Amino acid sequence: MVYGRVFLRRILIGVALTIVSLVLFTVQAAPKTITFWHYWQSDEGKALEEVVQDFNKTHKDLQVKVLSAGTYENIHEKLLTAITGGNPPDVGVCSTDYLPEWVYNGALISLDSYIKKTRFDLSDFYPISLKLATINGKLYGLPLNQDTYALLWNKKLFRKAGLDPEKPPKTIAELDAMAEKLTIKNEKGEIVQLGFLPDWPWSHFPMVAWAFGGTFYNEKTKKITCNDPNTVKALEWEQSYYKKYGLKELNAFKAGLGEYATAGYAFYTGQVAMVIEGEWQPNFIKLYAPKDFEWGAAPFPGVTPELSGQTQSSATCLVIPKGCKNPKEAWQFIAWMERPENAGRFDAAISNVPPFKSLGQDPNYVKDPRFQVFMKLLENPKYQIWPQIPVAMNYMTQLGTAEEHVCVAGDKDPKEALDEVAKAMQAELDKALKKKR
Amino acid sequence: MLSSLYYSFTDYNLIQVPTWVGIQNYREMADDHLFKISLKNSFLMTIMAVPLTTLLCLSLALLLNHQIRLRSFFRSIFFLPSVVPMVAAAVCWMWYLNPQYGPLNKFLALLGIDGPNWLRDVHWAKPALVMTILWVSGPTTVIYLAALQSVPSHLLESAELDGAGWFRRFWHVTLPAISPAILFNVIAGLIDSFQIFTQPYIMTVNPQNPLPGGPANATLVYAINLYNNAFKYFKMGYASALAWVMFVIIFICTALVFFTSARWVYYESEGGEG
Repeated sequence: MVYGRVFLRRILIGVALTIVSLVLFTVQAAPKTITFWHYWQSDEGKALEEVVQDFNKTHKDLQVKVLSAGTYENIHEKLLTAITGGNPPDVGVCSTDYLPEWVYNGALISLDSYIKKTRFDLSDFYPISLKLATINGKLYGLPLNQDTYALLWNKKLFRKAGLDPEKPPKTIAELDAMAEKLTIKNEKGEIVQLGFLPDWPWSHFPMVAWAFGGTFYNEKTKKITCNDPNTVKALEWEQSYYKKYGLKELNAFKAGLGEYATAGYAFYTGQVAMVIEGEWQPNFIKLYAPKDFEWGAAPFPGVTPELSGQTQSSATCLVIPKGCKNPKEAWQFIAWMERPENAGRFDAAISNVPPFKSLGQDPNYVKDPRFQVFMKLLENPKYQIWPQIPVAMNYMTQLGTAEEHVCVAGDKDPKEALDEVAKAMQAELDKALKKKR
Repeated sequence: MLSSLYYSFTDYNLIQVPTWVGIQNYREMADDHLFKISLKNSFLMTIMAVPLTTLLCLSLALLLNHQIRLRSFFRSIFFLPSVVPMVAAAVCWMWYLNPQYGPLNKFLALLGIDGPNWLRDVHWAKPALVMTILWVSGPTTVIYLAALQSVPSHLLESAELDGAGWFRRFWHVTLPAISPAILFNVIAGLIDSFQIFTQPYIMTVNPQNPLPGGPANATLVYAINLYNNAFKYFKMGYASALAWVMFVIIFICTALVFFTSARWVYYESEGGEG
């Protein structure tokens, strides 16, 4: 009996060792896999996955598992939770709206050392695209795509109102006059066609303020300046639309409008004649607008012609989250993705602005001349970006709420609302800067 | 719980090691206007939700206490909403409240009422959320139902013999008999309404407001402000402090309700006052 047990035990040990060595061997021979989380859905998500599969086909030793891990609204929380839990994806995405806060709180790894080691060429990127991802001189992400905003108008409605459909407004005053002509009310006094509404479909207040010569932050004095006279004037201008057409009437009008990204979107149905929209519209209009929809795009006018062409820009960057277990491989994928032939392909598919000069100046990249308008905005030497301070997102949120109080709720005065935000954000900023991590 | 108490005395951004800051987080609350707004919003929601829930559930329980046909069917129907996962229900509610396509406004139009823009209207966003709270109050109804069935029938009979009508029987016999259940439901409702999170988190996010709590902070309830501080502004320490303040506030409110209850709650074990 004792003899039998010893023999059995040896057989078991031998089998176990064989299995273990087989497993180790296969694990060694298998390609390394890294994970990549993004926030695009349905068609846009598929377009990204197609490009990533090209990487997988051409790189036998490194495979990328791509996952649509959320939507734009919640991807940052999900990434943050993963980083906190010690299990982040190897490559993530981060909007430059969130990037300053993320960098200041240590959530991302700087790409500088990898760029230097692999001698990655940054010269094809628009300077502004890189600036958006650079905090305190260090680069923390490479922009995968970028959003810019311009003024879009409905050419048919222009003709009906007796305006030249090829001549968009060149100043704010012209915009106001045209909006007036393009607004039609019915016998009951209800709005059936609205010329323009500054905070529809969503807020573009920073862009509007820059068009008025307003500021939000003084880098030298580290002071929050959202209550500077021009910024206040910009908010008063937004409020003037609500005052002119009536808060109740406008809210009732807005309540009857269709959903974004559907055929019922008010710009496509002709219920709103001019709108501030983003560079994905050429694609969306093809998908959702009626076949005979005629539209134009032009830089958003400024209060003077020199201030025209301001835009709100944010880029989605590929980033390496803190706690990433395979940073070298993560960089390998990012470096491959951030080439005009790869990222550019994805951007063309979703009609987003690529961050590469070579594509921006290529007339064959996206043949629609209206798309060129969005791209040309990146070359504006007077390009402004949202302050890259540790409380950037908090600031943007509070500003948005102030705008809502003034326009949608009508229960605050522009100067009073902006003074409050300036006071609250200055306190937050001072606290954050003292922390110096 | 203990670690959250510890974090409330630190500055913790979830990524780096927390640093001790003493009572600074609590001091910061005094100046934080979002704290005050969220406190006000939560109080308003509770003041709207608790009385309405009590009225609605008590009325439903009274109706469901009669021997009507399909009684169990109706009881199940009213209990069903509380079984549905709240996130899925919240998404459905968003569609239900849609001013253009939603059934609610279409129904109001039949009555000749111009329905408001519910979730995007500063004045109607909170009532919209209160509606979702009322919708899941099935368990409350069930508790009232159970309480109604234990009202001593001999008291009801003798009241009827003495010539008391339905309302007087209800007011002088039924209500005191079920007052412990009312106390329980009021306290539970208070605690729940004050901490409401899922509905505002799901329903107030849209392209205009990528962060919940809109429009213009009308639905910024306490739990949402806490969440924003913890996961968006990297202030987990401050959020922990907010959590403990919420605990203390709810504790005080509950204690107040409990201690004033001696005047209006009658327990069967006591002498038979009333």
